[in-house]
Amino acid sequence: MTATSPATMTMAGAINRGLRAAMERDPKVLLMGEDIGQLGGVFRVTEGLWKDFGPDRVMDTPLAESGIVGTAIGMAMRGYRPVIEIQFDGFIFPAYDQITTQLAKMHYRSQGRIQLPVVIRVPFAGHIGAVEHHSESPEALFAHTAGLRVISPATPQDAFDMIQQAIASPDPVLFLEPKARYWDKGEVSESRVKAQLDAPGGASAATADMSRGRVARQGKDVTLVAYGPTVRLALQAADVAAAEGTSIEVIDLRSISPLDSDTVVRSAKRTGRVVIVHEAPSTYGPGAELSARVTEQAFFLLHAPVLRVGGFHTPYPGSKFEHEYLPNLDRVLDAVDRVMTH
Amino acid sequence: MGAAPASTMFDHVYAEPHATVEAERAWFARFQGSFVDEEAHA
Repeated sequence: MTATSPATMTMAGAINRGLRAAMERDPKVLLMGEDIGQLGGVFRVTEGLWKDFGPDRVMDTPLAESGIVGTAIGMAMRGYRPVIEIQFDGFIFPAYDQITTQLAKMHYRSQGRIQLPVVIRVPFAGHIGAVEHHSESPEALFAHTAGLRVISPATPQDAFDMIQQAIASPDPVLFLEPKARYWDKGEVSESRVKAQLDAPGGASAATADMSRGRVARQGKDVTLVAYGPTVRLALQAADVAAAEGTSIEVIDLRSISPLDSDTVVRSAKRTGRVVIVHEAPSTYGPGAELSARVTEQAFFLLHAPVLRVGGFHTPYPGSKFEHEYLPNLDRVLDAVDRVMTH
Repeated sequence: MGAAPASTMFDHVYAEPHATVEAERAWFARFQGSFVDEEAHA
């Protein structure tokens, strides 16, 4: 692949390429996690990196998430840039104390003297027919914690760019990988993020860039907001609605903390209708925060209340109920109909 | 040495700017400033 010829790859492959590029760029970048070395991770996202970079830079860890994060914090304090993998979303909870009490707050606690550039990669969300611990969407818990950045790519290009931007950022980043999208293919160009990171001030530009949302599809009647695993669903809903005469603008947030509400509010002021879709439970979810911001900033231009489509306030159900638990095309289109007919 | 102003509570949350913190910092400055204006016009 050259700078001028994008290659087609899966999202998992794009993250792998991004990790490789970051490790080649900076010898302080290290990978740690359960079975990420010789095996290449349960989703094979780190495949080949142990062989090419060796066990000093790609480390298999014990099954001890709190210890993995704690070790990464110590390494970051000594100048390394650890990238750790939590094998499944639900396995992150044993590390919750280390993440929220130590990782998120050390920069503040030290009045800026200590930076902790740790990236926590988390395969998250559902649609793989699994059960609790393997299909969860815990992003609100971390977005609620000051000091952490929380981002999620929806395309292979963003996965390739954003994993490198996260590693370059001086802040701790939760990098949420929509595992059901790992094998979706798309074109990836390596040149843009390379130029960004090679330029002076590259880390600042990268941090700002990964914090911005994007308009994935333009429209004029309804603003449909999604991120990570639900962006494809939102685009499908836009296709169906277009056939019925409703023009939907799809916004891919990309970042949950910070939340690029400016992009959403701009769109909401034009369409007057907003629907937010995520797999995380609607209750206290990112959609609730975004709904509040849209209402605060665009209240008099709204034609209908902001609606949310998300998981229910239940534990993640058994796989036979997964389709009904997660946002699906019918539920998204129902919400679109409701804001259009309000 | 005087006490640090309350606005410094927004410093060092992140190493790079974060839109939420910056928005709250700006709101807090306006809020604090509104009291100064009231006193000036009293």
